[in-house]
Parts: sequence; C-alpha cells; structure tokens
Amino acid sequence: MFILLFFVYFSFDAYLDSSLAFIGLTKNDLVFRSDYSRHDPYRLAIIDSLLMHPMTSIDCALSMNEDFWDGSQKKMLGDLIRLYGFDLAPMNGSLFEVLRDCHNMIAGATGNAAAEMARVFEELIIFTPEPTGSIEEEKAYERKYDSLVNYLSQYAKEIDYKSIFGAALTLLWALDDFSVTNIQLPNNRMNVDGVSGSLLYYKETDFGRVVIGDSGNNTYSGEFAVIIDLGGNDVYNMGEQKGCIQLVIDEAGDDNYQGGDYSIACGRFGVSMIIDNEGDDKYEAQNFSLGAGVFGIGILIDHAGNDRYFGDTFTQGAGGFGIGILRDDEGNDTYEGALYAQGFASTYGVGILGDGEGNDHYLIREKYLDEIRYLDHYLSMSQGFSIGFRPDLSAGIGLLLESGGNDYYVCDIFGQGASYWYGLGAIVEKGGNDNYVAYQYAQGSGTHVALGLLIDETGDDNYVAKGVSQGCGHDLSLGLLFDQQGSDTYAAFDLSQGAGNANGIGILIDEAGDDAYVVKELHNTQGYGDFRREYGSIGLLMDLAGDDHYTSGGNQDFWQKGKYGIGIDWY
Amino acid sequence: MILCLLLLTAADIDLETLYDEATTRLVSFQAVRDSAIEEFVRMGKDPSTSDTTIIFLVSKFDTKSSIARHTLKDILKEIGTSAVKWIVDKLDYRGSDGEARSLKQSLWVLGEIGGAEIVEPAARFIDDESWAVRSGAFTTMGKSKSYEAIHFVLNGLMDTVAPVRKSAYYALSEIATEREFLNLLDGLADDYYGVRYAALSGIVRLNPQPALLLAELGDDESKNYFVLSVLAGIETDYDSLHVISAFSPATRKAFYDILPDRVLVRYLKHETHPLLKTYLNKKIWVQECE
Repeated sequence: MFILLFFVYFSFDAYLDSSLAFIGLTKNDLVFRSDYSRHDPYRLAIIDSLLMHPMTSIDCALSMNEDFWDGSQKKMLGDLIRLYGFDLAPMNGSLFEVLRDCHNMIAGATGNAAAEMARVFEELIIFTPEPTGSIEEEKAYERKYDSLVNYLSQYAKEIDYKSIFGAALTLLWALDDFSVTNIQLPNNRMNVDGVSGSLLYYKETDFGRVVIGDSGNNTYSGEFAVIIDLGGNDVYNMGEQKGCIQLVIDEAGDDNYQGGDYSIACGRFGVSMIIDNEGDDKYEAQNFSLGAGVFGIGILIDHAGNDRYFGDTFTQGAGGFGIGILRDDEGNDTYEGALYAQGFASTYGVGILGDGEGNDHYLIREKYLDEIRYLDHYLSMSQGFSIGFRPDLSAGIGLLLESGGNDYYVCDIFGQGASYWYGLGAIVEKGGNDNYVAYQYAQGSGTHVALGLLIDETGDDNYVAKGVSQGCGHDLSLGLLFDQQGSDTYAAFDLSQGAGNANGIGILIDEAGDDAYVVKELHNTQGYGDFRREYGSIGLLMDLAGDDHYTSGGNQDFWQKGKYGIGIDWY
Repeated sequence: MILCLLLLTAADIDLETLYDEATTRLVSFQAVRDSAIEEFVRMGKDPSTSDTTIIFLVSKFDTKSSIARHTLKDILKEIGTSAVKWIVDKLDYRGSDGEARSLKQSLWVLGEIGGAEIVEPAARFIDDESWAVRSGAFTTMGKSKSYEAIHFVLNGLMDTVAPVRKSAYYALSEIATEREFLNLLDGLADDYYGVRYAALSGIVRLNPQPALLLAELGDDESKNYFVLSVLAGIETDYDSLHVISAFSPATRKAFYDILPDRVLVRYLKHETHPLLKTYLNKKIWVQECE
C-alpha cells in the first residue's frame, strides 16, 4: 500500500551512499522540511512525508503504479481516496439502487457556495491565449488572483468530499457486479428526446434520465444520468454535466464522444464515469473533460482499441479538489491537450492518466504563452505534473502511468514528471523505447518545495530538454530521473542531468545500458549543486553500468562540480 | 497643508506605479522593470527623496510575491546602510499573517546590507518561536561579519532545527576567531551537511596548524572527510599518512586532494579502488601537462 512509506532496497542504494560520500554527504542529508511555509489545510499528508524523506518518492510512485494496474477499478479508486485520509465502506445494492443512493449522498454534500466556487476555480485555471498587454493589466490580475485564492482557501473546505468520494466508490463497487450481457429487454420503438436509434429501455428517475440503447448505431444528445449502450458505432453529444451523477457504459463499436467544457467524464460537485469496453474511439472536448474531477470525481475508462483523445485545459486525467482518472488499457492511442493535462493535479487533487499496452503519443499543443519567462515558449504543465497556488495552497499528485510500448511525449514548459509547490508529479514508464521532448522544468524536475520524478524501467530511451530538467531540483525540491534499463540518450543545454539549484536536490540515476549524456554547459550539469541560503544544493549523476559517453567525464570515472555536485560512472 | 497632502498623494501614486513596474514578471516588460529598479535606487540614494522611498519600500516587505521580495532586497542592498534605520524601525512588524514575511524579509535585507549595526536588531530574534526567523537572525549576524555577534551566535549552535544550526554555523564561520576553533571543529561531525560545510569554511578561514586537525582523525569517516577537506583548503605540504588504507574511498579521495603532486604516483601504486585510480591518473596527467 503506497500510503505506508518505507524504504525499498533498490540496487542503486549502496552506490548512492558511496557516491554521496565523495562529497561528504550521506542519504540522511537528502531531506527537506514540510514547514518552509504555512501548512494549508488542503495539503495531502503524503506530500509532507515525501518531502521529509524525498528518496521514498521513488517507491511511492512505483507502488502507486502497481496499485493502479493490479486489481480492480474499485480498489484503484479506494487507494486514491485513502490519500485524503478517508477510509470508506461502500454501500451495497443493485446498480439502480446505488445510483439513487449516490445521488442522495452527493445532493447534500456541495454546500451553498458551490456555484461561486466553481466560478472561482475556473477563473484560476483557465488562461487566455492572448499575452498580457500591460503592467497594469498584470497587476490587476495579480490582485484578482489573490482574492480568488483567498476565496478558495476559505470556502473549499465546506464541501463534503467524503460523501462525494464515497458515492463514486459505491458506484464502482456496484459496477463490479454489473454486466451489460445480463440485460435482456425487448426492443421497443421509443421516441426519446435527444436519442436516435433503437432503444431497449428509457426511464425518467429522480436522479435523472436513464436510457439503454441496443447494439445498433445510436446518437445521444443532451443530459442523461445513465446511458448504457450495447454496441454499434455511437455518437455522444455530451453537454455540460448538470446532475450530480452521470454514468455511461458503452459495450462495443467505434464511438465518437463530443463535448465542450465540463463534459465527457467530468465530475463537478458530483461523479461522472464513462466506461467504453471496445472499439477505436474518439473523445473530443474542451476544458475540464475526459476524466476530470473538480470538487468531485471523473473517471474515463477505455478498455480496448486505438483511441484518440482531444481536450484543452484540465483534461485527460486531471484533479483539483477531487480526483480525475483517464485509464486506457490497450491500443495505440493519441492524447492531445494544451494545459493542465495528461495526469495533472491542482490543489487537493489527484489526476492520473494511465495507459496500458500500445505505442502512444502524448502531445501538449503550444497555446498559452509562458510570458513570465519567454516570448516564444508555452506553458504545458502536463504529463505527470502538479501545481498549487503559491504561496497559499499546496499542489496535489499528478501521475502519468504508462505500461508499455514505444511512446512519444512532447511538451514545452513544465511537464513530464514535474511539480511546483508542495506536490508530486511523476511519470512511471514500464517499457518500450520512448522519446521525451520538452524545453524546461521537465523530465524529473521539482520546483519550489515539490517533487518531480520520471521513472523509466526498460527500453532505449531518448531524453531531450533545454534546462532545469532531467533530474533537476530547484528551490528546496527534488527532481529525479531514474532509468533502470536500456541504452539511453540524454541531451540538455544547461542546469540538467543531476543538478541542484537554490537548495534543491537533482538526481539522475541510470542503472544499465550503454548511454550517452550530452550537455552544452559543463559548469552546471551532470552532477552540479549551487550555493544558496549559505549552504549547498545537491546534484548527482550516477551511472551504474555500461559503456557510456559523457560531456563531463568517462567510464569508471567521477567528477565534481563545486562542493555539492558529483557525477560518477561506477562501471 | 492641503498642498502638502496632495503632493504626498501624488508621490505615493508614482511610487506605486514605479513599484508595479519594478516587480513585473512579464519578460516583455523587462526593460521597464530594469529602469524602474534603477529609479528606485537613485531615489533611495538621493537625500531629498531617500526617506520617503525607503519607507515605501519597507512597507512592501509583507508581499507574497517571490520576485517582489528579491527586487526589494536588490534595491535596498544597492541603497545601502541608509536603509538600515527604516528597516529596524519596522522590525517588530512580523507581517499580516502567521508567515512573518515582513520580519523575515527585514532580516534578509539587513543581512544583505551588512555592517555591525545590524547585530543588535537581529539578536532580538534568535530565540523566536519560528525556526525560519531564528535562522534568518543568525544568517543576518553572519552577514554583519562583526565579532560583536559572537555571544548570540554561539547560542544557535545547538538548535534542534538543522537549518537554524546551519545558519548559526554559517555566522560562526564568518566571525569566529581562534577562540571558537573548537566550536567549529564540533560542527564537522554534525548530522546536517549544511552545518558540516559551514564549519569547514570557518576553519579554513582560521587557517589553523595542520597538526591540530590531524589529531582529529579517527573512526568517524564523515568527520575524517571534512577534516581532510579543511586541510585541502589551507596551505599544507603533508605527504604521508600511514593509516590511509584504513580510510574509506571517499576519505582517501579527500586525502589525495591535500597531497602535493610529487607524491601522487606513490599512492597510485597502492590504490586499488578503480574510481580512485582513475582520479589519481587524471591528477597526475594534469600535473605532467602543466
């Protein structure tokens, strides 16, 4: 169970001790504190534990990956809910009884401030693509930002998360015993508003409209609480979810899911689930979509097929004050988003994108300019990323969990196992020859008291980034890139490949394979730690085997960059 | 009177605008930002506008913005000692919430300005309930580089919070005399590397007799490493140590760093650790090239 942290022995452990000794350090020096700033009530307890024992975050990420894939969906969700300190026992009953119970549980859970809270959170999350035109405009936004965060901080605690999460868990338990193959209903010619094609069942209930479609092609438009479709190539025109419960089960066919904001498995002050069992499907929506939890839980599960996912902001496994999961078990899939996507978490959130077998593409489009740093680079904040509202609200846990295949990851600023302000962001890649391309703050990068990890277990991988990447910890953060097998290529310009900055810890560990490590700036890469706040940041590049190439040294060699940085090739 | 108030209001508005420009985070307005910072420094140094400017800047110490905190520090450091009085005047204001941002900023900026006059004000906070404030107070005393702080600094060496001990040892490293040599020596065996390195730096600054340090070599490998690292930082011509083979590889590496080049070949013959053999070979190669 990943909540219980303990040291698992990795083969690099002994080498870690020996490597650190060369710069006068021990593993006990690899620590942070959880109280550099005021502890806000929305910080997940596990983040504190990981900051105090940052190296255990490797085990934590790996355990979360194992737990995500091993066992049932209800176990998967139960594990995540326990991160919030809730130990919930789901209610029993038939699916329809459960739906009614869940509706009732959620109806009283959202409090009076829900509508305003949604507006505030949306204002904080949704960016405009147009650059800020003046300093006055910038400062006006800063004041507004402060007031929005204060509002969130004050009122978000009024939500009864336990009830909403309990409803989601109960629903998943009920689905475990539910099979669409058991549905035997005569075909009825029914005219139902918003549906075309043959239906087997339709009812208006106190928790919303329920419809069961047959195995032909159907089109569903509008608001439904439950859609169960037995097959065919279906079209779902899904509007903004208004009810507190939504469930879609599609048994087969190449389906097309279309929606705007807050649609396609977006749990907002409620629960929304889509389970698609077969077919090459297309999911296309905008913001807060495709497995998004906003003060609620949104789960999108696609069991098979070559699928395509398109969204903009807060999409494809994104959680803020809630849990968002997108799980795709098989097929060669394409994921495309623009911001806060593909395993993203905001405050009090867990966001997971889990993909099983297949060669997949993860792309973050260049849409929202990073105008603080660049005139021509764009914020991604995606692909195993988490960010809070500094300095008032902590981040959460954003994970991208990949089981296999040769995968391609592309983003720009912030992503690919990165985090900002009291959070954890990670990619766990089990296998395949993977390509990671990013510009900055990526590929195992922690920024401002946070933990960013990229763990790749097997395959010949390519890592390309400009800087503050590939195992870089900035400002009391851990950035860690851990590649266990394969002949890999690491390319960066500066402050990367085991670089600690502003009292951060940056570590790159490669356990096997013939690897190439290439950098432009020698002085702050490949085992470098700078000196801030009157003490050193820690940087370590450690390669345990293979015939390797370095810009900084050679095989069976070590080198120091300042007092607190070291690169070592052990064998 | 009314005219004065109007002028003051106008000045405030100008300062606020200038402050917004100086703290902009937008890269497209970098030139505006640089110019505003320069203007603040100019006004802070100009006797006719100095007080108003510094008071205004100090009033912003409670900011939540990281870039604003750094900008304020940079401006006031550039203005220099004339800012100290106004910062000290407001030192008791911790800030608008429990974070004590204003107080921490005050201590930071005082340290960056430096000088003996900051010791007494900072000393008021060495027992503060907030470890971050205690840490800031000790760092400030170190930045003063004034031995007047020694009595206060010694109080922090046993603090239970590692970053506070680090700051106290940093301060000690900056102001210690031979009288505090043993205190610094204790720091070499601390649990926290920030302390060990601060102690190392302080001892190197004292430039003690090598024999005093060699006597400290023993079973504690970590301490051995730092003792030898001190020797690497001071002038020494020590070329034989019979217990070398008993040292860990990391400590042997620290030892090789204090050896004169002429004896490295002798040690290379006996070294068995592959990484250290490479290390010695590289040192010898560099020496031959030179």
